[in-house]
Amino acid sequence: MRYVKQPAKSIVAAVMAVLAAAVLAAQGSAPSAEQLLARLDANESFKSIRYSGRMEITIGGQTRVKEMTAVAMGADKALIEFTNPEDRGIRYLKLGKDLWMYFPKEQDTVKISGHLLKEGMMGSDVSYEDALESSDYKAKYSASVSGSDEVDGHKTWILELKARVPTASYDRIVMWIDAERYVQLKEEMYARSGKLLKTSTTLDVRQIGSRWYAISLVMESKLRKDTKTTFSMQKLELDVSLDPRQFSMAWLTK
Amino acid sequence: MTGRRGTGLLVALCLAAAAGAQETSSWFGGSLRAQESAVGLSGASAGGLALPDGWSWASATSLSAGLGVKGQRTGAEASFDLAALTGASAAAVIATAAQPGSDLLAWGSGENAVSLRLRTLWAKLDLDWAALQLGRQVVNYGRGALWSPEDIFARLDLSGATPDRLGADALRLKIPLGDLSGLDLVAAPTADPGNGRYATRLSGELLGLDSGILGAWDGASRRALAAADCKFDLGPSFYAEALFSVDPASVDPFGTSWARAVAGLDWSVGDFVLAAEYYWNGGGSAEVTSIDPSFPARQYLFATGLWSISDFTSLSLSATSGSTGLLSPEAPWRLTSVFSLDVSQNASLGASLDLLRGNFASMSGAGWTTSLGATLAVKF
Repeated sequence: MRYVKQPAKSIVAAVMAVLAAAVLAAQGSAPSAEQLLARLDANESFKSIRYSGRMEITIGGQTRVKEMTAVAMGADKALIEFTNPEDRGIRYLKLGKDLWMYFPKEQDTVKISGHLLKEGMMGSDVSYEDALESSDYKAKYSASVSGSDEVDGHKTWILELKARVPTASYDRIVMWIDAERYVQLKEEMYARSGKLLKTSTTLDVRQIGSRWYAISLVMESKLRKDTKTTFSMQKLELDVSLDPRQFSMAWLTK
Repeated sequence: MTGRRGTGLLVALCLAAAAGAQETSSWFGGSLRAQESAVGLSGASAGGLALPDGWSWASATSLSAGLGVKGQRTGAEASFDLAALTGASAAAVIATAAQPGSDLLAWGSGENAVSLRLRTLWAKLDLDWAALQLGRQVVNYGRGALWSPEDIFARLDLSGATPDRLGADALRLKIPLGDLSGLDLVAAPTADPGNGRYATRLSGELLGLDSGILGAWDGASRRALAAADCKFDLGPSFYAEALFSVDPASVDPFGTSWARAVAGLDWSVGDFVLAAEYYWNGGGSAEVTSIDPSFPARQYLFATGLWSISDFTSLSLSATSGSTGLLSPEAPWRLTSVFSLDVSQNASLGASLDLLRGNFASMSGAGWTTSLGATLAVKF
């Protein structure tokens, strides 16, 4: 799940990215890392988002299905509520770098922090740390374009991100970015030792308004044996009107 | 708010909430659970009476179900536990239902029984500035894994492998004071409102410290209560809470005061989640053994570990011990181990071993109670 940038910044980034893309198309050359990130940001940015999500966690041939509704405002605020029978009413609230989990039966709220951040969210391959990771890669990583490749028949640019600060979740991230739609089609995340920790592959990309958006992806944790998590969004709405009070402790526990 | 009239009023409120909701969503669900146990007694006693030695079978088949409706500004929920029990399980549930103030209903003999507990029944109204909730609800103020002195409204059900908080009949007003802080006003009156319990709690996050303070009046004992709690993270998570009680009408209010406190931590290492908790039940000059009938001694320790053997299997081990002298050789203790296997999306199998030496309520370390159980649980 990726959240948004500030709207004003998004608009500027979008304009810059469109101009950059036009120049690049005319030149037929590889874009710079900054141009690629700006274009990616512009495509994925929104003021707010609302969707129904489905998470299929497959472990050793067995699949567990989690369903949820989610709303988010900007990059920093999100509220997720699980709706499948086993987890009905469990909610997550993200505010900036903090994450809380609410258990309805016990009326109990737990802050996900410290040692819990490395755990898989609801048993999936997506860690809480992944969920909290800001899409502002520039703040934590230095970026470079290392070449081009083809993924599922689409030409892609390979973007490499190297951690600049110790608080980065991964030491190195490699992204394959669609050269025409500027959507991330594949991603690999590495530890400092060079070990591959996780991979993410986009399964479905849809055009929503003027932008392309990945609505389904599969994530695999290489630290777990024979597992994958497929995440898909339905009823996706971008830039909808949301009540800002939803992103509060009061709403989490209501 | 107990009894038929109160229940009828709440049902009417729930229906009104459902009917009044403009954009409603609803849910229905629960779980069906079957447990077979072999219970062995040796020199054990309950309520001061010696129990016959030997092994016996016990079974419990329970249905926990609930339904809820939620609108833009209204909501309602009702849930219950219905169980059919035989053997020692039947005897235990009849004894629990007979305790003063118990909300558990039970019918039958010592060999076969049926029990019913109304777990929740509440209606809610969301205002722009607050949320009002009326009915049986879990009001959870506790930080502790097993003991929570500040949890003055939620009673603890210790009959299962893991402690379970039960609801209270209350009127609750939650007023948000920001994204992370809020003021909570709770009134839990009884038939005589003067004997009810009333509290206000301010909670929020300050400098990474998740904290709360509480002030309350317990009409039944005519005592004022004050409590504070906090939780913070330094890798492992640490938490603490304390409750102080004073009788303001007493000639020597502080001489008759008492306090209870809990401190604990939890952390995970690889596939293990570990937690430990210390409970101090006492303080002041008052005799406090009647304050917490389940754990009347002065000090207790609780430790638990959960090993995730695989994504679908886990093994937990919990130990509880305590007495007036901590870790005394005569202290009662309890060791519980539960193995759990998720066999499908909705179903799980469990096996448990529960070993109890003595009796916590009587503070006696004499006698043994051993329980071996197998459980099938299906969620729907």
